[in-house]
Amino acid sequence: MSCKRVVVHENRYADSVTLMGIGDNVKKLPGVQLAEVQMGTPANLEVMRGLGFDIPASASANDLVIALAADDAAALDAALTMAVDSLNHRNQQADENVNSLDDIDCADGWNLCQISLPGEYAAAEAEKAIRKGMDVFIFSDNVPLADELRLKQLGEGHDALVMGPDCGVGLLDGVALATMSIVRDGPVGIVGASGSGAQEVACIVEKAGSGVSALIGTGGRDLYPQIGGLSMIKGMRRLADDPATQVIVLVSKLADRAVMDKVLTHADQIIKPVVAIFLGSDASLFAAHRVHAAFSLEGAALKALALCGVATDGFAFTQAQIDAAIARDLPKLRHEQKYLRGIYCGGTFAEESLIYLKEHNPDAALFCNLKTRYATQLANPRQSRGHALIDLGAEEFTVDAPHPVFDPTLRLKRFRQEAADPETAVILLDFITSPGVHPDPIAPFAKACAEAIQARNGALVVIASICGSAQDPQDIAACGRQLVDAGVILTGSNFQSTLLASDWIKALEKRS
Amino acid sequence: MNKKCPAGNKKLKVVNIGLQSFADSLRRQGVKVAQVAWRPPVKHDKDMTDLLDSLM
Repeated sequence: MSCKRVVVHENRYADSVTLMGIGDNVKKLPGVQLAEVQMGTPANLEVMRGLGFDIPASASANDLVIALAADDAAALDAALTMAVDSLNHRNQQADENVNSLDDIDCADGWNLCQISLPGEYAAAEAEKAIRKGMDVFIFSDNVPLADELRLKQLGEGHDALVMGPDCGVGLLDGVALATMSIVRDGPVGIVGASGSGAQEVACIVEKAGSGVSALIGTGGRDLYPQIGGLSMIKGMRRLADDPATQVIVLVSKLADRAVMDKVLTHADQIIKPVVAIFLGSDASLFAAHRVHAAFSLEGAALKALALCGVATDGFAFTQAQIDAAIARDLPKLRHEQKYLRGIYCGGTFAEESLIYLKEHNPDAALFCNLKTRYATQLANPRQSRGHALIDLGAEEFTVDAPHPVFDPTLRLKRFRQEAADPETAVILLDFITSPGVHPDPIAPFAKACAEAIQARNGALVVIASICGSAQDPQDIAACGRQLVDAGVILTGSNFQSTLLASDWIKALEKRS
Repeated sequence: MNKKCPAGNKKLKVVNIGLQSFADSLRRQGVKVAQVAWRPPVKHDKDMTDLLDSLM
């Protein structure tokens, strides 16, 4: 026998990560069969109705819906109590709780507003925060471009930094925001329109022995022609005025040429040295500017450190190391093992690798799930062919599953799929650590790598890099040891992994 | 965060609207956080919204 109950909390909001966690915990109670705790979006309501729940027709996306099924009434009561208590407890955890931004008095020192609401609601809250005098950090995506422009123009008038929308990383006052790593203090200030790209630069700076004064994210659309790099220019000015910053690094994917030129023109006026990387750009972009050009994320980090007078000898991968690694493992591979497979959680890392491989392996046929000019798009993103680089954070994978930095399950499954493919020779992995991502993203992969390598009697090469900091809660030193113990080749950066992968492709093509 | 200097000595104090896990992460780093118990705005028709705006 099964009892069902549906409770609708009208006009109440909680984020999906919190709600999923509550639902999972309630489901573990004895006698509970189903526990759906969701916002009443049409898609969620359809799922609940599909499970046999009688949802009131009046329930809407603004309502929080609890739908429970249990063996008996007592189990149902216990489940409902736990769900409601969990929701209320979550709301009581913060140091201070307020009902709205209107209750915040900036005279009390509140200086940053972090917003991760559904996109349609984010701009209104950001506008209130800017008008109150706060900087804003907008993690939300799906904010209309016109709203982004309006907010950034408003920010100019209020001397407020507008980081985002769709901003994944920030490091201010030594505090890591959203999915950023806790990189230690140092002389390098970073402004990034590419979140994982900027995080990688910051983490390499730390791994190479230095630190970061601040990392200001701008959101991925800041260099669109409609926005004109407003936040990148504003962030650069903040760092120019910051006494702790000796060198500024600008990080972006390739963007609108006129906007990149405008950003570089502003950079030319700054007295401090500025390093810039626009992933995929050529040297001609920099010809008329004073800025120090970089063409890889590692290159940008090492150039900035050189300008700070920090020696980084020994950090970069040498050709001798690469040659030795390939000479050791090539004889172990069977003849049908012909291909490289990259299974990424950072989209920028996939792109950095593709750009390099396209240039340095011009005869190799490269495939990717992304629509990019650097590779042929896979007809089926769930099935690799040839040398394939897959961004598991792409929309086709995250539409019905959490992003792989929050939940490694999907990427782990893809890793096992690629490792079992008889044509796979080399697998490339990236990892991202930070207080805001999965608490243990690497251990399950270390285990899966050990199993996969053993299953093929050592005839599988796995290369990995960790974008993370020593202060992150995941303990990257221990994580790195787990990978190495599993037989993985651990490199210092995604660029180093790519250098090795590029020469692996050459070796595999030469052999066949 | 000092307006002129993101790495200044002024302590970051964050108002968080949305993901509770981000507030948790900040608290673990020793940051003072105010969580807004945000609720979706009640949907009014446009005439009613305009009227309310004119009254406020």
